[in-house]
Amino acid sequence: MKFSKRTPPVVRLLICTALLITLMGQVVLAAPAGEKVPAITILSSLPEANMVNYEMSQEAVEELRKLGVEATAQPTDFAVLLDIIYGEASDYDAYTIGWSGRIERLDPDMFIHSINHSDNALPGGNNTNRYRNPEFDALADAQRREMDINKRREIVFEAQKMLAEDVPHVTLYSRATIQTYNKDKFTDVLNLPGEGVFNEWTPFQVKPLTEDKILKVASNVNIDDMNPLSSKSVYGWRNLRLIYDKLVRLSPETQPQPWAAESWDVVADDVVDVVLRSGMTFHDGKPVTVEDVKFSYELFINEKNEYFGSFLSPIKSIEITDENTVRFNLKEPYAPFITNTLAQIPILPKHVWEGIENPTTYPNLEAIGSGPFKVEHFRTGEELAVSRFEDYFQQPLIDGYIFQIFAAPEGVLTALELGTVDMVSYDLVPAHTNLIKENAGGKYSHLELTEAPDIGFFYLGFNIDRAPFNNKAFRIAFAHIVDYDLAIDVHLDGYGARGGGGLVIVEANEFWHNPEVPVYDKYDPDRAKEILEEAGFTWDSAGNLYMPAE
Amino acid sequence: MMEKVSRVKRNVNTQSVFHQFLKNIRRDKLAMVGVILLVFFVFVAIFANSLAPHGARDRHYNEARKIRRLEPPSLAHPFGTTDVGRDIFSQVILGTKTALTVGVLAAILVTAVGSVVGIVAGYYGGVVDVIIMRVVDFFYAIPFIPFVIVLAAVTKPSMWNIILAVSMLSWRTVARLVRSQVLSISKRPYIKAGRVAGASDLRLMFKYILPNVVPLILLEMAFMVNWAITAEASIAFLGFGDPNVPSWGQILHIASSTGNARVAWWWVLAPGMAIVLLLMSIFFVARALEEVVDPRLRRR
Amino acid sequence: MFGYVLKRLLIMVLMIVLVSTMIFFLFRVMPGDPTAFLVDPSITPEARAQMLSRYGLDKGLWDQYLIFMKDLARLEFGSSYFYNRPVLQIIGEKLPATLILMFSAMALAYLIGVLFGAWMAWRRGSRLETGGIVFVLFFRSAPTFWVGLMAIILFSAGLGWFPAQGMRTVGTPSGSFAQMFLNWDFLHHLILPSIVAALYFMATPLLVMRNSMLEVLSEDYVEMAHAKGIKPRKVLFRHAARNALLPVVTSGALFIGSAIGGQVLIEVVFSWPGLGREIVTAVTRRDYPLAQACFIIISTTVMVMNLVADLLYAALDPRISYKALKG
Repeated sequence: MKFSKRTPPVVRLLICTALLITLMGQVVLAAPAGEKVPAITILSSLPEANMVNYEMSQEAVEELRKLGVEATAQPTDFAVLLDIIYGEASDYDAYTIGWSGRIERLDPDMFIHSINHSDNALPGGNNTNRYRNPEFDALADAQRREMDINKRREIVFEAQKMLAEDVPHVTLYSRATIQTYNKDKFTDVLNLPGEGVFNEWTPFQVKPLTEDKILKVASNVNIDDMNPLSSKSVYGWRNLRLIYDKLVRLSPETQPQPWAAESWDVVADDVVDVVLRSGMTFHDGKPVTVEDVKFSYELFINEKNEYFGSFLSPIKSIEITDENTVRFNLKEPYAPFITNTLAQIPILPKHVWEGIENPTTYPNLEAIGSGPFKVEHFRTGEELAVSRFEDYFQQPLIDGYIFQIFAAPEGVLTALELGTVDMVSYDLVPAHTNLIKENAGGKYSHLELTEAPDIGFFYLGFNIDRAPFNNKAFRIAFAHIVDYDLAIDVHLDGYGARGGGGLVIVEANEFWHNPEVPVYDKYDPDRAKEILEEAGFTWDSAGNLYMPAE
Repeated sequence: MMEKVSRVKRNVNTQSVFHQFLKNIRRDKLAMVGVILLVFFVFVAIFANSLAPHGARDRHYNEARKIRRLEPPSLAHPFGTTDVGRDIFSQVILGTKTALTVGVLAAILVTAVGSVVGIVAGYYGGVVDVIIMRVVDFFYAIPFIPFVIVLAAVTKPSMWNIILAVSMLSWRTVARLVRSQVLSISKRPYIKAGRVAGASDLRLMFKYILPNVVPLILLEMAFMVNWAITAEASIAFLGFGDPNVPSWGQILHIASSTGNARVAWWWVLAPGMAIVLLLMSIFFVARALEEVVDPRLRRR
Repeated sequence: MFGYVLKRLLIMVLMIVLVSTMIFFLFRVMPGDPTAFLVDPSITPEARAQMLSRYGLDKGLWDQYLIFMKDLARLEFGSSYFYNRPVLQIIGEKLPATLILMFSAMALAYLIGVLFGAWMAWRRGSRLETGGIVFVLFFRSAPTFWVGLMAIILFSAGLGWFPAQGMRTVGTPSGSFAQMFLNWDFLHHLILPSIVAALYFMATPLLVMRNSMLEVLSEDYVEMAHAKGIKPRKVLFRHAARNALLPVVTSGALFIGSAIGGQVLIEVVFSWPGLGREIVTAVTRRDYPLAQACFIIISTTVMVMNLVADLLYAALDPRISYKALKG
């Protein structure tokens, strides 16, 4: 028990007496002091949506029962799960879900601010753990406004430490990005964290070894549509960003570098000037101008685009300052502006879009952009074929690529085996990784496996508004009943990274990860019991756990 | 309406039906095999919990404390193990219970509802019949699997909801068949005589007509058991089943969604063969019953 | 006849309205709204509200229903939330794949089923008959997805005879219908899934044909033909089989109706880009317009096929009058 220096001696004495009486009461009457720990329902993934989350929820339930807490796991459809944890009623105890490692999440803002700031701890907000800590909020706000990257890093480190101590959720594991490609046909393939082998740089780095210079990419996730204003899927965007160009790109080392922009200049904390590269054209031959840039950003803002909403909201106004320069005025300093906003928003041809009445619902099947590839054909649910854009300022090393959609990984493996596809765009399931690794039946000798860590993570979230999760000691104890190694060794077959209490920025995100976290990442049920005991939790004769006295 | 089975011409005596059925079984080797297999499956289902050597979710480790990952059949694990070292033999045994529970309960529900509706429609005829048959048409027009998926999402994925969903969309078949047979039975002289003698509608329907359709109902019940088991397996295979109850469809679903189906043949073969054998045994028994219902099929 | 058909069609319209109403409300009571699944959950609450209003989901349930029914009356099914394109276009692209797979499987099943059914009736009581029955019942008992999995393990992964998934080789350029579907590559992809489906379908025509054959064979004119010394094979196929076909044909029409909704398993196992798979993903994505349209179209097909079955029955069997059909 610790008292802060400001606690008056009288109060200390009172508290100690109260504690003593409580303790004695327990010894004498052997009656638990507080309320019985309420039954906990963990909303888990369905096994087919995420087998590991499903398994880990079941494990957590078994461990909770051993602690004397009534618990059940309720496998829930993904859409239903989101509806519950984002819904008005906020009716949940705990849940398992994950944050995917999208490239823009290399910037710590999402994982620090968006999912942990108390402003977002409302229905519909991303702080579904309902974590509210004013000290933490101050740090989360400060890192967002800090335009100096090293100073920002210090703040982010401190914020991570705080989360690791408060345990608003328990990170269960991260998956490894294990992908494969045909090494007999292509070489120099790069597996980027959060991106995999089919990334933005693939077309500029992959060297064809045969006469077949069309890269065939397999996906097990459908891509939605070709309209940048309405495309809502990660896989849709992996393609659209190669058809539509962007001002900035993140280098393979994840540093922002000028792309369709020649340069940028942070004039003030809230003013950024961007100089456009000259001589670029759209696929229909018309030149790319600053007008197009201004038009595109304004179109996304005016159409209230949901997908990029959070990146666009800091923009106050956009003006053209000379024939090559666009100025972005921000509402307030926004550290991720260059790495996220400029690196994500595509440039659309004004001459095509200004005449369209409802831009967001326009099908846009013959997408015209200024990116390195132009559309050949798009067959919904089947494939997208693109070819090299001859007038692009940096020529890809491949003539084009075909993005093919499969219903299940099973089909992809066969296609890989037969050599009809050259590369996958998703993480292999452990079973397929092992087959390829062992070169089962000598069928996979032409395939090369590559591994990169993921910057996303999967976690078990709590509803801190509810008992017992409102009790910090209980959350810390919870972090001790999760078998982090079981998740990796058994359920992920070794292909992943360990979790821990309150972990949000994983080791793979080298620059931003605080090496001192997580604090609680050992599976130790006995220690969990001790923690509960120390915090005043008690057990009755039947072994049921009771909350500490108020 | 198409009258598929309307050929039972005489008033069938329940006792003679059973007698005939037994005779068919004794004569028909396939039916005999069916009965033996079926008794075996029922036995396994009833004692599943004591027969299964392990829990469905237990993980098994070898002497070196390594997980028994994807081991082909052995003495310790007769149907092999899964990718996280679970015993497939135990899972298949526990799945038997689920399969038969779903099959039998759904079949009872379906035939009960279907027969009552069919008898009422066929007996009263007229407006009652027209309305009931339109309701039947309505349920015919709903695509089965998509509907069950929606229902599973509206409610929670559970075994009971699957039984309910299967029943909701399957009673129509029984109703249709029973009705057309009742139509032809109600025209018979002794029914008319009963009516003249002042027998109540209820009495006529359930004392006079029902015994005549019992063989047909039993036959349909057997088909419905099979249909319900297939339906449950299909839904579980698509991943909309009850994740907390071990079932054959779920075993296959996990084998294929984890990408192990092509290599771990034991993982696919065992639950699949269990479905095939159980359903075939019921078909074989049903054939003996079918020959009672439809005398044309009897051997010359 | 005309009056009868007209009446049936009117009832059908009423049925479609009822089915659509049920589907509409079923989807609306389904937990989970489309925004949750369509966009990353990290969108702001405002963006979410904006999206709901774009889809018209912010209106009252009753208003939504009225709009839905009005659109339906004009055969407008709206745009898919996910694909951002008119639902009918999507279905138009998916339906041919489903129909081709289904009809080729049915053709195969009926051709083999009818021939072997007749033959089995002819060879009644023989060991071959027993073998045949065990064979068809095996495949009727085996779930199609399981047979599909086993077929892939054996013939695709093992022997490499057939592709395991999809309906075309990667990168086939877009072209006319003939270029897309009438070629060896497509056929090669079609063989395995259609055989697997046919094996399951086969039991119906085979057993119906056999039973119906048994009945015909016991009738007088067949005995007469025998007595006249006509060759047995000729008796079988010329005289008996023809008359036994009637129930097979009508069962076929009914079967199409139920098969179209049951295609989904084959399509999932073989990654066949058809309507069955689309409806499942549309439901899980809460893509209401697409899922509703799929339901309505499948339901309508079933109803049309029921009508066709009844009409065929009447047309082929002179003993049935349209009056008798009105049950």
